[in-house]
Amino acid sequence: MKLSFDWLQDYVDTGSLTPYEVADKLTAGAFEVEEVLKVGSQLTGPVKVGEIVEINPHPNANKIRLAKVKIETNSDPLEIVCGAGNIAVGQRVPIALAGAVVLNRHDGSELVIKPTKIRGVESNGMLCSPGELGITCIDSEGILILEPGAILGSDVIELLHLYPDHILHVGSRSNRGDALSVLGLAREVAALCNCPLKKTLWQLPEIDESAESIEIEVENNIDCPFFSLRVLTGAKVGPSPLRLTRRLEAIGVRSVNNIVDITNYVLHELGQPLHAYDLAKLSCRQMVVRRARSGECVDTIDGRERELNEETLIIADTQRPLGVAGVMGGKDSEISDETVNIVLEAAAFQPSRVRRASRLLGLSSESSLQFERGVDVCGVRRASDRAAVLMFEICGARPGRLTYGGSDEVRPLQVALRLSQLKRLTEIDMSGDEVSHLLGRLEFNCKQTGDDLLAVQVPSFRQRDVTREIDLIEEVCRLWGYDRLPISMPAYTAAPDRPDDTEILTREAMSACGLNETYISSLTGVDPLGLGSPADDNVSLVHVLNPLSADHQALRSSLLPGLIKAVAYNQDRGAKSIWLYEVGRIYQLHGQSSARDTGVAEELHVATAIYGAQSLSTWQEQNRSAESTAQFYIAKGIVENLLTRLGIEANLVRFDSPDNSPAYLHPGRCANITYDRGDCTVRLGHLGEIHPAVSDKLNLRCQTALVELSVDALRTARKELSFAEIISTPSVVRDLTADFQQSIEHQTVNDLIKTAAGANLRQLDLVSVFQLPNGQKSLSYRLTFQDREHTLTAEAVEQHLSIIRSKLKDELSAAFRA
Amino acid sequence: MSVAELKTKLKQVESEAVAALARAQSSQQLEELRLEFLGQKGTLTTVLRGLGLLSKEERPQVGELANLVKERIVNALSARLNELYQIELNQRLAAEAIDITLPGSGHSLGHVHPLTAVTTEITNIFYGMGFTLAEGPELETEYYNFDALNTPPDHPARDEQDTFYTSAGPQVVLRSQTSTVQIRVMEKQKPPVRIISPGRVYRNEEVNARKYPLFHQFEGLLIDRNVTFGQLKGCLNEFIRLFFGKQLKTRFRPDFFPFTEPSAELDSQCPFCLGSGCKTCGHRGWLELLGCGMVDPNVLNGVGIDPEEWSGFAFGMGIDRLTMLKYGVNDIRHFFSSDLRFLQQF
Repeated sequence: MKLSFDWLQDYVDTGSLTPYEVADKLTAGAFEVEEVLKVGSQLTGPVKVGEIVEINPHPNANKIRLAKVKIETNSDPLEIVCGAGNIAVGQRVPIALAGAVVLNRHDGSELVIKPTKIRGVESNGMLCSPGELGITCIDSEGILILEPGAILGSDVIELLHLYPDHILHVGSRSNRGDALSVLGLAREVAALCNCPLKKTLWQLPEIDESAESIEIEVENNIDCPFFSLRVLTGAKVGPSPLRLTRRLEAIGVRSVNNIVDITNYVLHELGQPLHAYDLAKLSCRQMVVRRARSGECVDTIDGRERELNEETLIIADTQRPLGVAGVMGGKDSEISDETVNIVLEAAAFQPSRVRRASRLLGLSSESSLQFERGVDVCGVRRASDRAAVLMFEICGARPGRLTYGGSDEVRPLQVALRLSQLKRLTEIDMSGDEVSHLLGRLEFNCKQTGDDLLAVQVPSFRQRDVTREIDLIEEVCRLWGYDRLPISMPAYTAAPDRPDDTEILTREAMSACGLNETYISSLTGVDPLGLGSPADDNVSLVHVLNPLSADHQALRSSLLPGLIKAVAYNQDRGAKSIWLYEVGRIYQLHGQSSARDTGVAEELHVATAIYGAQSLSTWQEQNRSAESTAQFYIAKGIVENLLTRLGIEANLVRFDSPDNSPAYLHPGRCANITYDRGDCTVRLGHLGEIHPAVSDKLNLRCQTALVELSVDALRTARKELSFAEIISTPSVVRDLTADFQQSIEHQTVNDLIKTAAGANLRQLDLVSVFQLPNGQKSLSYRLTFQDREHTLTAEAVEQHLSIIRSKLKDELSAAFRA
Repeated sequence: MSVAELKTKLKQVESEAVAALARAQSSQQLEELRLEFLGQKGTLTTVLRGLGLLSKEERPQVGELANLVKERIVNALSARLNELYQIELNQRLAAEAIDITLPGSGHSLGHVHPLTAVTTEITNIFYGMGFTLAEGPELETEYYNFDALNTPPDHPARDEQDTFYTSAGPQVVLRSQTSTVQIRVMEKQKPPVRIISPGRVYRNEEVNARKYPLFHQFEGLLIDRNVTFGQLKGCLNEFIRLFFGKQLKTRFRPDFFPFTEPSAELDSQCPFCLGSGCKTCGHRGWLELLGCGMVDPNVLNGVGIDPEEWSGFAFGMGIDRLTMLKYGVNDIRHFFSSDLRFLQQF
């Protein structure tokens, strides 16, 4: 909220503290001051109230005139040259005399007044416009016309309170509804700066006992603990006096008319929303505070028809709703220029009830914001009185009796505070007297009831946020100063568990492969690639019920669509090599939700997209032969590196052609990856090249390969690394080349060689793949034989090879060329 | 030949050989010279054959000299061989010199996302203070996201304007804070508890340079006997020192969070201007870094931990914000853009 330092002075005496010092104290005391703005300018007199007694034309100019202005009853009037068109004889106006410093109305700079000749005529001062006096709330080209009652010769600066002010932007605290007003912050300033609150008293004028009164019925005291009305008669509705509008303007409140302005003024001063009705527009002399009936409607002041339901609390007469309680009044009964008699409402409503109505109607007001955070029931009458006094003074309205429903009595709240508990949590060692004194500054009344025990009486306006011992401890810390609390370090009691490093190693391996890490939004569209996603996918998709946009309406069930879009994004920005990976969660519905269970499975995945060759410096790239390796194999290499890094045994991992490949993968160039240890089979993920249809749709110009693996599954497949004895017997290396039908897969050949070779085959590498003119393919393998104990003889190795050859021939129809 | 003649001859061979070796210009020439003087039919060998004609008495006189001469020739040969090798090596080195200013080539390492780098850094600092890692789901029930964290049923944070609700169930939301992990850990683990939990959180906010509907938070929780507000201050001061790598002033300001009491906002002196005011800190000299406080007794009671026996503190900070500060990133959207021109800067 915006706090006027000048207004604050009505309630607290901050002595010699500057607005900036007060702001620092508030910031250190839980009310962060985001900004201190200086408003208004330092004007210097003499600027006096004068009366225009004569107006004559200027002898040498058309647009300017000569005004004779009297500032003392018995002295000669002063002759002033004036260009404004709005002056008339008899008006009281501000006149700046020689030596006065006012403002240049064009740019706000200082304007020093001295006797001067304008077009040959002497001018002895200047009639001032609002701008020249630093009053910006009146938008006028002409001279400021004062009230007829302004005393001749009196000081205009003092009369209109034209002093500079400071506006403090104070951050509001959702739990401190009591501190949303000048009064509330004055209490905080008094406590935090240790300076006295001013006792502000106002005398209610004589009550007009003959005035009408309104009968009140409150349906439910939980919704509305206290509801009061006062009729004020004979009001003159019109513009507000300057001292009111200037204060409201400084904190950003627009002036409407004097009655509405007074209710706003009291709201900001005391933190109590008020509402004024036009008595003439009420159909009867009875008001009810009740829940709306479903389907009831009301036209609110903002000119819209609002449909209500049983959740909304309303104020109604016997026939129709007059307004939404605490939120906004109705158009039918609002104050207008013709209003003479006023009904002033001051009440306390239950915060959650107001909040619900405000949410339901999508309507919030200064009033509802205050009610949502709570008002002090004990302060309702005072606010009503305050408004009545101002309406009497400003609008000449005579107050009638206050009628009310419910009660504004508040049950006293006493909270026990143990000094030992204060010490236990904060290390502050304080006596009962010291604590009593500190809390006393916040109007908490303390009584020591034992060596360790204080009984603390909580004031009515703090009963919402201070209900427990810990709340009092916080108040003590706040006033004592958080920065003065002792600093220490926690004692060690246990060594922490060693965190799992699968995620860290995964990122390391990916970076080491040359992939760049990215973070992609987990909120996505339902069909991010626009493929018309298959129905079974949608069943497990988690939707956001209140999404920001169509791009955010679901939680991703795969990392790949995001990466594919990232590839297209970078391609369109000129990237030639796009190697990306992400480690992130995917989300899928898997069961019913309950209070403690979301029914959603979240799984940590790692995914990569590779597009183009890995970045090499350009001058080297030209020396390389054009690479023809399919992106699939590069991606597969990345998977193999990752498996190695995580200690997952490569021979237990299977790459199978899937029956149903994901829609964005090339069906002939993709594989499911499974870890299979015999007793335990875990699906790790899949890889493949992008489906040409997707690639075409996104205009991708390069082959793109994709991998997605579950980090959680990889974790279960990991094995602790262990050392194997290095074998010292010599090894024998033999190459084996055989021709196969195109349909025979490497994996089949590989597995067959392994089983046929027996225990002495130490290593098996595929060294070349060659397409033959006859449509067959030729595969060459390098076999490394080694026996743990003996040196292998050439004959023994040849024996192994011949077994392998015959198996390949028998089972896979392999042909061996001479 | 007489002894004298032989001696003269030997000296003559030596001087001829040394002179010839010195003139040799290649290792091949040297080999020819070796054969010429030391080979089977070489000059020295021929002279030495004359030794056999000498008497027993004379032989040692000449023999001594002959060995000396042979040794000197061999030495000269090897010295020249070495010299020539050096010359040839220098020629080769000169010929093989390359432009060392050409860029390096080959396989490049991938870049790590700045959010990962900063998360790792923060995590490691707290590992050093004895904290361990805990994780929790990003989708949460209202119970964990609000109720158990002492958030009243009508708290504004529950509004749809602030929190995303999902189709998983009427009470399933996208967590708006990592504090949810506190509850999940305390439900399972008896004190002492000392955990940190980085993770993704969601708020229903319009996207702009400062706000994104998802971002990352870092949560810390310590529950033990005799945990004080002073220990919270101590831990977090240490964190600021280690994270920014210098001793910065800090200030703890009272604040309000439903799940801590007393609560505080921690500001640190701006590490860039050291408090004198700059663009990063908005000319305030201070940076708001994180929220923290003593765990509210209601929260402890809710998970069955007796607040009279145990106490604790919790803190939470925005990783994205710290990362923006650390690297001077001016727009949070860069983090989620996947733009290589951004990613490859880190």
